[in-house]
Amino acid sequence: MTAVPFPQRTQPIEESAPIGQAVVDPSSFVDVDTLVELLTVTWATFVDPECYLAPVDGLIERRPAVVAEIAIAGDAPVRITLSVEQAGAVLVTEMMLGEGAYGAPTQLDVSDAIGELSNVLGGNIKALLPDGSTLTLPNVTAGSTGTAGDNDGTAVTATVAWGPYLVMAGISAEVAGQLPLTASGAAR
Amino acid sequence: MHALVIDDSRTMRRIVSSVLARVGFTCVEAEHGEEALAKLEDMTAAGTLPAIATIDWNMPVMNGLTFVTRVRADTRWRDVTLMMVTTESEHGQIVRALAAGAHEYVLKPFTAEDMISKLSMLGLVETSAEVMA
Repeated sequence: MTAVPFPQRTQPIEESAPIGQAVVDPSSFVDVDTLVELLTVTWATFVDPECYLAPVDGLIERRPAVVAEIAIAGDAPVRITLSVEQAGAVLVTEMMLGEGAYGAPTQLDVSDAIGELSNVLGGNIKALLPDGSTLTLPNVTAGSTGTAGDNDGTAVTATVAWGPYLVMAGISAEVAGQLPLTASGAAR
Repeated sequence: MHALVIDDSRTMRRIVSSVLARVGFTCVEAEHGEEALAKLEDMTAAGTLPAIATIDWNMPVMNGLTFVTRVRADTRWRDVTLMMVTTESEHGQIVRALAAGAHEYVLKPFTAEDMISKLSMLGLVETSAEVMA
């Protein structure tokens, strides 16, 4: 993933908790169908009530995307990645904000919107993990679709088409020292 | 009626504010608990105490649970209804929030109808069926 700075939400400054060290296989608690279902519920609620997210199989074309990462610390530490193709991310933001209600979305708007979707996705995945897990704030960068789980062979990934746009969600096992994210002390 | 919408995501603040505006609230927004406390002081001084505050849990600077605790410790704000709006679905966390003084709990993702239904249950709007008709 290309590390291009995106406008970020203010990072948490409350007490930090370290990301756990154990490695867990994400497929032991969530499968691809569940991931697609969580994406669909999130999209239908906040983006497009009429949406149909069609699973995409086979080789995924890499396209420029807005990529949000969020980590869950605890007994089963994982990293969650949500990649939304750039043009789709802009449309997502417009639809979340109400088309035309706030003018053309800024880069900060797009970053915030995709980050919030990753937060909602992460919160729902956290519900499948052991109690006591904590979620970080999202970290949003420019990257490409297909980046989910790039660094880890245990990733569970789901790629869907939202109209002409690619959306990918991935869950990968947390590897010690891999994430530059800070887990906030409180659950989200 | 006035409302205070607290969330570190501006997108989410706009979504929540838009739902509340739809049922007649005038909204003030804050991006974390500390800013919300300052806004609450301002609103109190201006005589526009919010009927409700919607509160995300995990935010920088001051999280939602601390905000709830601080508000509940101040008798000037005992009439403010506190509604958590969060992805935190763990039972123990919900209990913590309610024990700290939150009145209601809305999980993300939520629909406008979900939120209006909660507002209706709290007696802050007409019955949700009338509002959505």
